[in-house]
Amino acid sequence: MGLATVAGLALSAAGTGVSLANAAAVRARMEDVVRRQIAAAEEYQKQATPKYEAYLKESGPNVARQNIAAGEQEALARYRYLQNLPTIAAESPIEANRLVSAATQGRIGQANAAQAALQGFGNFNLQQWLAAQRAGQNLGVISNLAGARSAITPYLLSGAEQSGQSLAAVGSLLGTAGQLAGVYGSLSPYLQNSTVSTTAPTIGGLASRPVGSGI
Amino acid sequence: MGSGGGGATRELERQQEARQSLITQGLYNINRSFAGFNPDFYERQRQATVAAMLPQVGDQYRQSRNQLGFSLANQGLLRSSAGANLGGSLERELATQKTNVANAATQAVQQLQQQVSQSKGSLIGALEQSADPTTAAQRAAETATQFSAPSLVQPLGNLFNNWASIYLARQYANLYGQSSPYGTFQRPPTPAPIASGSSSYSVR
Repeated sequence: MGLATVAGLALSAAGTGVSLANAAAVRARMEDVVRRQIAAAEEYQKQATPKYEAYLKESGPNVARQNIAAGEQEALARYRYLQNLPTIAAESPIEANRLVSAATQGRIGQANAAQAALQGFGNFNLQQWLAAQRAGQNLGVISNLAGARSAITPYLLSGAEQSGQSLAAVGSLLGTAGQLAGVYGSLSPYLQNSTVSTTAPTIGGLASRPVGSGI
Repeated sequence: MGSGGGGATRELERQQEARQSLITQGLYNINRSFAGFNPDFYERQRQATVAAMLPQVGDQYRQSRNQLGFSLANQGLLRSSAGANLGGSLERELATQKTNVANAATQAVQQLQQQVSQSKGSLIGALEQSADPTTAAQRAAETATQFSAPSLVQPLGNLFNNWASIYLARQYANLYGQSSPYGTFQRPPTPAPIASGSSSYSVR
């Protein structure tokens, strides 16, 4: 085994080593990119989860009952306040009848209670709508940021891959040099004993048998 | 060696972080502009609406009660159960109108709450697209000012018209066969069969 062959083997081994090392480094960088992107996504998820849970707390049946009851009570309080406000200062010339007045107040109370119940449902609708809006806005912002962050993942991966191209080229060059040296080493005994053929190459790309080569 | 790809990667991440920072700042600006739209603000709006509408109810009630008083006095019914019943019906109508005023004020405030929330959502959406906190702050301030300005309360219609048509005119018709003192009330084209010698009205 000649020196050139040994050198070729060494270069090929070095080239393979460099290529393997480069592939490992690229893989590590890409894994690092993926890890960072996953960590960022998890961070956004950590921000979004409390917002979503807060929305769930605002939309359960207990909260619905509270919204309805609160709206009803507020409406009743407003009705009572307005009913008790003196509308005009002058006393009515129409003589009041105690029974009629009691019946009138009773019917006003019934009507107000019915109206207040409806207002309770109105308040429920509004509070649920507002809660959904708030949650949608909060989650929308987080989702937008998370989406934008994840959208750059292919570019980050491509960048991590490209950053190893120079080393890959070195490995490839070393490998090619090793192959060439190996070929030279394997052919050199023949080349030393041969004369240069003056014939043109054949169509198959093989040189014609040189004269006096002994083969 | 290999710094080109790494540099681009770092630049992408830096741009992403800068965009997030701008959006966060824009959100802060929007929230600051809309901070005044709290329950106290809406309660003041509600009270202002009620305060604007209630005097109109009072005026119309006074006119209706005076009209009823004159009518009953003409018939000598000021101190009668019929007069008390009509007075009670007018009181119920007044209560109904006050309830309507309260409901209208509540509805106006609820609409305002929805509009404010929708506008805020639109501003946030625009911020997400532009990532421009300065523009977001300007637009938020403009929008908040627009909502904060007092809105006009439309004049109320004839609130006691239905009551006058139903009670006062019927009382007139049943007792005396006279036409209503209220110009809005009209006789039906054909008299009802149960009426004898006088007009009867199907309005209930």
